[in-house]
Amino acid sequence: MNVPGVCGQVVRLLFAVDRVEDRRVEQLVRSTLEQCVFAALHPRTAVSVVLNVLETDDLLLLSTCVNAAVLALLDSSLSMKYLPAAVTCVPVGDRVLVNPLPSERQGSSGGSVTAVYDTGSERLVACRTAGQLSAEQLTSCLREARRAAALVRQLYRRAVAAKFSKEPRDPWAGPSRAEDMPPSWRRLGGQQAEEQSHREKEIACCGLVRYEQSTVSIPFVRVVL
Amino acid sequence: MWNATETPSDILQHSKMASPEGLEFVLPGDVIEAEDDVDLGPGLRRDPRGCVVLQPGVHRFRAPRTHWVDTHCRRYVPVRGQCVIGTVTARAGDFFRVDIGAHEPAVLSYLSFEGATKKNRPNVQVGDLVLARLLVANKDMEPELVCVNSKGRAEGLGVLAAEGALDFRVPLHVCRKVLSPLCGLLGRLGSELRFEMAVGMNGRVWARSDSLRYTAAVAAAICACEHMDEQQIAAMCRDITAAAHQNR
Repeated sequence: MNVPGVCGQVVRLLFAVDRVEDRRVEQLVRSTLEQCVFAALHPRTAVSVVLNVLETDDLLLLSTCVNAAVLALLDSSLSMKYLPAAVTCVPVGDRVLVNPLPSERQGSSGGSVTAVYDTGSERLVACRTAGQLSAEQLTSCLREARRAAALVRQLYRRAVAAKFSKEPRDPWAGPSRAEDMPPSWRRLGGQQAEEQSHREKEIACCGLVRYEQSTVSIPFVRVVL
Repeated sequence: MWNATETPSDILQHSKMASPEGLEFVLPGDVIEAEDDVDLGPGLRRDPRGCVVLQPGVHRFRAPRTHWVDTHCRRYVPVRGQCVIGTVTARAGDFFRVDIGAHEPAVLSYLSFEGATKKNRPNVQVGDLVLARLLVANKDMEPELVCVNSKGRAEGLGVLAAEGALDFRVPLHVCRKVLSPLCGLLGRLGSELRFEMAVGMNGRVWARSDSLRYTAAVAAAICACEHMDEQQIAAMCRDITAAAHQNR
């Protein structure tokens, strides 16, 4: 039986020496992607995903890398069985913080859960914990991660919609709206859509999907496609 | 922070209704409801759950029962019967190795040219561009090309001349768009300019005209029509042909 074709994947910090943590993240991201990529359609083929980390955060690195890799695979239109979404949850007292920035997780005891969910069927695909967690904290973190994964899927959908925003409504339909001024031929019509799509990638690469607003901040991973 | 009454399925409903212009964007893992007797095109697969989407894109439907997903893919997957443009990379005995951008280099027998026999070999060198049709194309075998039809006629297939021609790459959906009979790009360009062109379904295009100026105009028109609808293509063709004829 052929080995599934995801290999050659590298996680590398651009401005630091390679660390053991990077290899752990690489292994976890690779095993997640191997499950979701439809490798049976492409035997004897390797899928290579390269993630260059610009600013790192040890806690959020794994979920950021998973989301960034999924966005890269979406852009390449490789056949996938489902879309995984990764979320990091930190329990602080009674509450659960979702994708918290370093400044927000001051009072935590050090425990964290990174969960990857299949966004279609909402089933758990992968889970990695660190630090001390009680059973109740683990279950509440998984529950919150499951809800946040739906929003990551919304981000994926917006990225795809931005990429296809210039697609004609009906293929080769006639002139549509009066306000659609035809651009000059020297300016490619798809530039705006591609810039927007690129921005979406940068946003989602943070792994910090805030559901009350659409912009996020550091750390982020730039996807090299 | 979290709205306690909102469940993830509510959030998904909101995101589904937010598609602009009513285009049906689908993501991998989406299940499309369809009857049992449907024809599934690229990007869809039959599953116990129904028709499962494999690739992100726009879900299209054509009556009576054809579903497919329009994707923006850059990597070509060979399909039998399609015409592709490839570069000859090696001569290996009785056949040529041709790079068509697929998972493996394709094989083109030297007898698959019009009028070729064992004594009369075709004049194909390493580095030539060939327009060929896929005879064998599946995921388990290396692709095979032929430069003749079933009656032994070339009909445009074969080696593409390199002099005065431009060979460039476009995304795969641009090739499909340009070759579609409903797209007016080639007709509009052809009424103003004189050129010959070969479009390979693997994303490669070869164009040749009277001079490099006209050739570049044709190439620019094809590359620029990626995100344009018919009205924009008409305006773009007018601008391009006017600019090409300007300094004759």
